[in-house]
Amino acid sequence: MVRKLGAMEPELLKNLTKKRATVLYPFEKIELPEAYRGLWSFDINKCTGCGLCAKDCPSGAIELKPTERTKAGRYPINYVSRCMFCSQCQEVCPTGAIKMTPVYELSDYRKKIIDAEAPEGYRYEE
Amino acid sequence: MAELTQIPKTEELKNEYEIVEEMKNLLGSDLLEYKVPRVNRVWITVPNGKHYKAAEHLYKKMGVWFISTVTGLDLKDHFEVLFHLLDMQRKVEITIRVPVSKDKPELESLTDFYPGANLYEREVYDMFGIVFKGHPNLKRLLLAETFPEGEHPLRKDWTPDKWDPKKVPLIQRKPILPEETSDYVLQVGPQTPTLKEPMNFEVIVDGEIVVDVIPHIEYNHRGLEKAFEQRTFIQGIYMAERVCGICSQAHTLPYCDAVEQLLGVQVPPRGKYIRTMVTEFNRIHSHLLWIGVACHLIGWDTMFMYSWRDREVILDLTDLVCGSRVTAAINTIGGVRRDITDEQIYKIRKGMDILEKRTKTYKKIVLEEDTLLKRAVGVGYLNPSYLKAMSAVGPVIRGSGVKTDVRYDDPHFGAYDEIPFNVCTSDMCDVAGRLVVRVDELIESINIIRYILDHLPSGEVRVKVPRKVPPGEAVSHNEAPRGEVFYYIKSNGTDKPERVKVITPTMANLLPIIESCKGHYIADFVLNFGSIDPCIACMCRTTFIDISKSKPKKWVWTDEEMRRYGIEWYQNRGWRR
Ligand code: SF4
Ligand code: SF4
Repeated sequence: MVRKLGAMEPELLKNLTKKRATVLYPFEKIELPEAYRGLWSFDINKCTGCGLCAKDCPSGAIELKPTERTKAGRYPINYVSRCMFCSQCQEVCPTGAIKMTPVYELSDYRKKIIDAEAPEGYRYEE
Repeated sequence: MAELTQIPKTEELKNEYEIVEEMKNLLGSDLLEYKVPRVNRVWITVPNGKHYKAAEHLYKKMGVWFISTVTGLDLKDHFEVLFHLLDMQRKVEITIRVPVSKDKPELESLTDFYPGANLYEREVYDMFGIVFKGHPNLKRLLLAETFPEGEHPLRKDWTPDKWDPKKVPLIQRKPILPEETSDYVLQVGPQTPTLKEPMNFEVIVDGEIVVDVIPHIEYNHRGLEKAFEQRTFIQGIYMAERVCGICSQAHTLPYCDAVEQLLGVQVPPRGKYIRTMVTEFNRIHSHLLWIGVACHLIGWDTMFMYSWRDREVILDLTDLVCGSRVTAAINTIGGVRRDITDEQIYKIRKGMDILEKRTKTYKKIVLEEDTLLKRAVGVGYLNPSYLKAMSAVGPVIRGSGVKTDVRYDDPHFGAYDEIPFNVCTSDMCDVAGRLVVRVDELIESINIIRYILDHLPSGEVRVKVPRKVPPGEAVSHNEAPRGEVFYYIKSNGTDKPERVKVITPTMANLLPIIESCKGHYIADFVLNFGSIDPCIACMCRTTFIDISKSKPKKWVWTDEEMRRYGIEWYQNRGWRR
C-alpha cells in the first residue's frame, strides 16, 4: 500500500464543479417509478369482497366492513398508519381492485383511513 | 437405524454419503436415523451424550470447523437441540439432532471444539432453559439478566400473560470492578455520538488502553421468532424482511428458499436470477453505506457524504425494480413478484457503469489515503485461526484471509452455482483488511449483476404454491452483506410455521471483535467495532463511576431515577413542563 496524503484531492477538485446531489424538497420533487409502493388506492366496483387481502396483510392494516356494493357484502378499508406498503394485498387480490400508487406524502396530524365509501375516498380516525 | 433418505445415493451425493458412512462407522447403532433430503444437506439423529463424540470426530478427523448455529425446539413431550455445522470442504450443511428429555434438560456443550457456539448455546439456554454442561459462561443472552428464573419464552407452554412485567425487577447490574482498582469503566452506547447501534458496552480501561469489554445486547428483544409462529408463511416473508432494515433482501431469500424446500418446488430460472440480482443490489448498498459509516466513525465526513451520494444510484435502481428503496419485497414463496423489463435492464446497466467507476475511485482512495490508513492499518488485528475457531463470518473472516463465503460453499439458495465470481479475501487481518474486502466485493457484485443481465433466462418468474406447507423441516442460508444469515424452518402441515430460527451475522462476529479491541486505544474501539458492520437493537440504563475522589464512588441509576434527574435538571434551569 502506498501511503500518501492527498489521494482524495483530485476527487475533491472534481466535485467542486458538480451539481449538488440533493433536491430542494418540498419545492422540487424527485420522480418515482410507476410501480412504486405508496398510498393504497381501492376500487370498490372491482371488489368481490372475498377478504383475501385482509387475511394476508402482515400488519393487520386492512379491516373488512359491511357494504351492499360487493358480492360478498363486505369491502376492505386500509388504516394508512398501520400499513407498511408491502403490496401483498395488491398481489393477492384476484380482481385487481387494490393498487399501490406512487403517492408518498402521507404525513398528517390525524390518522388517515382509505375508505372507498367515504366522500373524499378517505376519512380520518375519530 | 432408520433411513429417511429421500434421494437415493448417486454420484452427485457422494460427499453427503461419505459423511453418513463415517457417522455409521463411528456410532454404529447409536446413529438413530439419518436423511439426505437434497444435495448439500445431511441430517443425523443421535442420542443425548453421543453428539459430543460425533462432533469430536467431525471436528478432528473431518475438518469441519464452522458452526452455523444451535437451534432449540420444543416438541411438547421432549426438547430437541440441533447443531448446524457447515462442512466447507465437502460443501455440506450437517445437522446433528439431539433429543433432550424435559425432566432433565441437560446435554454436553460443544464449546470444547466450537468456541463459536458460546453465544448460540446461551441463546438456547435463555429461550428454552436447556442446560449445556461444560459451557464456560452459561447465562441469559437476549433477555435481561433479571428476567425471572425458570421462565423461558420459547417453550410452548409459556404465554406472555404468565409473566407480569411489573414483577421483573429493574436491572441493577452489579459493579463489575473490585473496589480497589485504578481501572475505569467507560459506558459506550446505547447513545454514543459515534456508535449509533443501540447496544451497551462496558469498556474497562486502564489509562487509554482497553483492558476488557463486556457487551450487553439483551435489551429490547423483539421476540421475532415467537412472532413468526403466529403468522402465516406469507406474512412471514415480510417479517423476515424486517429482521434487519438493511439486509432486507438477504433475509427473505433464505426464508423463501427454506419454505420452497419444504414445499418441494423449484423456482423458475428467471426468478432465481432476478432474486440473485436484487441480493447483489442489497450487498452494494450495504457496503457503500458501511464505507460511509466507517469514514464517519473516524471523523472523515467528506468521504461519508460521497459514498452515501453514490449509494443513491443503487437505491434508485432497487426502487425501479422492486418498488421501494430499501425493503425490496421482491421475493415470494415460489419465485419473485415482479419481472424486469428491457427498459429497466438498460437503466441497471447504466447504473452499474457509474458505480463501477465510483468503486474504482474508492479503491484507489482507500488504498492510498493516509487519513484512513493511519486509523485502520494494524487496528483490530484478528488471527485467522482464532476467527476459524470462533466461526466468524462475512467480511470479518475474509478480511483475515480465510476463504469462506456461503455463496461459494453452498450455492443452491440462489443462482450462484451458475454464476462465476471470486471470493474476495485480504490477508491484512485488520480494519483495513475488512475495508479492502468490502470494496473488492463491490466490484465483484457489479460483475455478478452484469453477468445476470447478460444471461437472464426467459420464461416465468414464479410458480404458484399452496398456502399449506407439508410437515417437515429445512435449513437455508445466505451470504448477507455482513456474513451468514441462517434460517431453520419447521412446519406442521398448516399455513403457519411451527418454529423459525434466525441467526444473524453480528452474533457470530461479536466475540471475536471484542477480543480484538483489547490492548488498543479507546479511540479505536468504535471503528473496530464498526468494522463488523454491527446491527443490533437494545436499550439500557446508566452507570456512573466517579474516580476523581480518592476512593472511587459508584452508583447505578435506573431509568426512573435518570428521568427524575433530567426533570430536576431542567427545572433548576428555569424550564417548566
Ligand atoms: S400493503 Fe401490506 S401492510 Fe399495507 S394493507 Fe396491503 S398487505 Fe397490508
Ligand atoms: S382481495 Fe380484492 S376482491 Fe378480495 S376483498 Fe380484497 S380487494 Fe376485494
